[in-house]
Amino acid sequence: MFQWIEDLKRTLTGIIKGKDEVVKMAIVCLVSEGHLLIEDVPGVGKTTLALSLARATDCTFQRIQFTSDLLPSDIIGVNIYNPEKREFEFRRGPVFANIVLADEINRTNPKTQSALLEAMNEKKVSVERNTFPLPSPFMVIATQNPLEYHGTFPLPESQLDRFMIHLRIGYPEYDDEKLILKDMKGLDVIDSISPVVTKDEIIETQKRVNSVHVDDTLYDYLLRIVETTRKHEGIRLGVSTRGAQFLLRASKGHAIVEGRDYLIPDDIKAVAPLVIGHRIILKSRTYIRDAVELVRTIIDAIAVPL
Amino acid sequence: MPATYKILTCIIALIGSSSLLLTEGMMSFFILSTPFVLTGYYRAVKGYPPAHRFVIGGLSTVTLIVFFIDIRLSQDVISAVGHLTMLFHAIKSFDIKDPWDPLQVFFMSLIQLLLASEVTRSMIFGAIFLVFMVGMVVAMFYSHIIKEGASGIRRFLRPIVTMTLLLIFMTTVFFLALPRFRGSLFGRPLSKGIKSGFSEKVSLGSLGEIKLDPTIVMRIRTSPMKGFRPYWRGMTFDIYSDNTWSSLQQGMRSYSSQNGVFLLADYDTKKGFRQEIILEPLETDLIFALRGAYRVEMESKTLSITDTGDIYIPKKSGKRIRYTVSSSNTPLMEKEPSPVYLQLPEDMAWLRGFTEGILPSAKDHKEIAKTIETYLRDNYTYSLSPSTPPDGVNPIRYFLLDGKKGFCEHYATAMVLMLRSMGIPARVVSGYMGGEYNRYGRYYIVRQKDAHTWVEAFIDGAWMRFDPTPAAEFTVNSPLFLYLDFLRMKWERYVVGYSRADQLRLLRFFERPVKVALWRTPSLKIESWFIYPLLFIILIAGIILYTLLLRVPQHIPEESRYYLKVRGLISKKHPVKESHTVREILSHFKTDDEVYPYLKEFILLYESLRFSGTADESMKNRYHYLYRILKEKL
Repeated sequence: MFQWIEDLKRTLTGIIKGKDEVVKMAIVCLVSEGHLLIEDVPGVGKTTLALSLARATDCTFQRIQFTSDLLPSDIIGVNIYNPEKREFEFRRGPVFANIVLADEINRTNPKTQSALLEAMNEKKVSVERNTFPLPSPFMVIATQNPLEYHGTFPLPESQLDRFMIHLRIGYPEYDDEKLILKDMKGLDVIDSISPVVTKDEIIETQKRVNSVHVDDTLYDYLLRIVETTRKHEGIRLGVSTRGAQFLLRASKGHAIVEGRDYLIPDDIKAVAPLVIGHRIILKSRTYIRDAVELVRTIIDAIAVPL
Repeated sequence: MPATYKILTCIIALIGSSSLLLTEGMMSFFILSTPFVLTGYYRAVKGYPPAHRFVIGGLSTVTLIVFFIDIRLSQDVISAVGHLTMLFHAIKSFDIKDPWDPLQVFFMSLIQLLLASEVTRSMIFGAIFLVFMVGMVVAMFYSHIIKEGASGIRRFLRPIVTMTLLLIFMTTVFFLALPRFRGSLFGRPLSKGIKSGFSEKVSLGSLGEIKLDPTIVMRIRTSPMKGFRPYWRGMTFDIYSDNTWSSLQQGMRSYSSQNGVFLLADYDTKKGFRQEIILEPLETDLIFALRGAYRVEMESKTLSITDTGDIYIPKKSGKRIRYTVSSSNTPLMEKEPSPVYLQLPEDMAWLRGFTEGILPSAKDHKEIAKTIETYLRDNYTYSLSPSTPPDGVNPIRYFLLDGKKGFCEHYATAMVLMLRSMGIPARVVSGYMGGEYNRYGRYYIVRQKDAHTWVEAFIDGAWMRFDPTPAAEFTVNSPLFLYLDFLRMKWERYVVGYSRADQLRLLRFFERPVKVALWRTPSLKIESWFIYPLLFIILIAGIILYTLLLRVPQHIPEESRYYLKVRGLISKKHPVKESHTVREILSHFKTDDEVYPYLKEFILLYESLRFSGTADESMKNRYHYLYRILKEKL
């Protein structure tokens, strides 16, 4: 339906080899106006994914390396006195870009984290009395190291909730990894990517997501999944209504990426673990990947609508 | 096969066997098959493999041999087939392999119910039949679902409930509308008749045993008789010798009728007592009624009546009999009594002296009889176990002079002999007295213990009844018992005894305008005691239906049905779960598989037709075409 989606997919998988599913989910996230949280150990291609996505979409790109001493103004910008005009003028921070890579978001303190998350939610930045809208499309790709690593500030649930999709990249397959080693080109290859889509095309596609046809039984199916997480005995906190909205939107985005203008159960099934996994709190174990597994078992027990 | 289906099969097998056991016509030894049935299905549900086929084959052969021996010995096909099916249920329970095996079990249960329906008339059978019907509807749905590959019976709850209700309705319609025939399928009599005390010769004291028996003998629907107790007349005894009463059955006349109505005498119908009697199978060919019967209505071609008014039916039917008698309650056939009624045994010369000793000077026959009746009632003690007379002593002499204890037979015999010694013609009549009045159904329940013997004396040109026996106390049953008995009688009357005449009546009922029919037809007057349980059941059914309809899941769209069938075919080769989407099912197939391209197109069309909200005819046609191809190839 949208040729650029296929082109983008092809371009990205050419760089991040063997991770077709991850690439697809990143595009789903872009199409459905969500933000992406990638959680994995260093060196599996988190940054590469974000960079290539920005390059291939003709979008402006900013990268913020989160450190423990980063301040909110380092992200959203600051008012600086202009001696020539004799007034303060706002100097835009790195958040004013179409695609923002928030690298290792859990390395910085909560104050700075929340500054970014506010911008993500409202798609604008308020400094003193002025409000500055963020560019469109706007997508934050945050990466974080798994929580067992030292010196991190784990994101609280309320902030995790703002990310539409939570992904793990994982190590590549043996053959793919061999291929990566063979034609190692470094980051130059990313610079050589030529855009396959314009911003306007992306915005148009994002609008199309809203008009994806959803059969009534699919709402029931989605809600059954959501309700089950709320009643499940292994789950302390189930999916919120916003979570359900995100799930529906991501499913619609998945349908568009798959080239359909109607939703099928597979869409919900495909995105649900990635959308729900970081929104629920388990009673026993704390890692999101356990939650993702649990969500998969829950979905596996719910009959799809016929 | 799902475990619930196996459990259902087990239940249906047990329903079949229990319907047979209910008839009490089976040998109790075969109840032992039930634990085997339960074990077999327990194993099946737990997933044990079926028994080895040699074991099954061997046991089946043994069972067949047992069957032939059974037939040879008992000469009773019904019970032998019943035993056979019970044994086969047990064997089959260890041999449940594929979804077709339960069908054999269902069929056997059906046979069992058919056999049972032939032998039993119990109301419990009605309940069992209903459970069987519901069970069969669910089972048939289940087997169909399994065949089509879908799983989960719950979503079919609504069609099942609808189907069951429809079936019950249709069964009722068929029951009411199917033509009736006389007699049963095999013409087999019911169980043995109740032992009665009525034969041509009755020795003194034989009723004593019967009078302890609470078995119900008959139910008589009639208007309540206020002020006097009804005497249900049975047999008249004329001659007493060797301590035994015998009936000569004098002047036996036969009546025949084509329509079942026997007019014995002319009498104004409005003045008589109409009695509608259901007589349990008794070991006698007598039927009972109030005296003075002038009109009898029953399903028989002939009827015999003696001069004394005893009514005989052609032969012992071994079944319940329903008949209607209208009686004037006064004797109708008055002839000058034969000298037989003055007969006395040889050693009774002392009796006249004894009798004269208790009589006042009055010589009026009526007064004599009254005096004797009162004398016996006041001076003798009622006892069902009187002391036995010493050897060689006449029991009546012993009763009158020494023991002074006895029951109705002693009283009546003594009085008759005393009357005869005074030259008054007298006879002993036996039958039943009183009975318990069931106000719910407005009928009398008469039991064996109501068996009674009394006296008739010919005084002033008519036979008058005297009862010298003092009234014994009688027990009263609880309203619940009476109500249940009333329901049983309704069951007996309108379900078991539903006849062609009833059908015609029903037809006539519908012929009339409804308004008139509802209020003017006395035979179909709605009885309040019947309407309350009915309303209750309707209310409960309504509540159940209402809740079911509210909770029933959405119906299955047409496209999904084809997909379900295909999924069923696939599920035979690949594991398919309800949570699997079409694409996940497709992933079971290799891309170079012959069916892969068809299946892929099929599921894409299914998705599009089902979920896109738009559908055009050409897509549908292609979808159906692909379905037919897949049906063959899978």
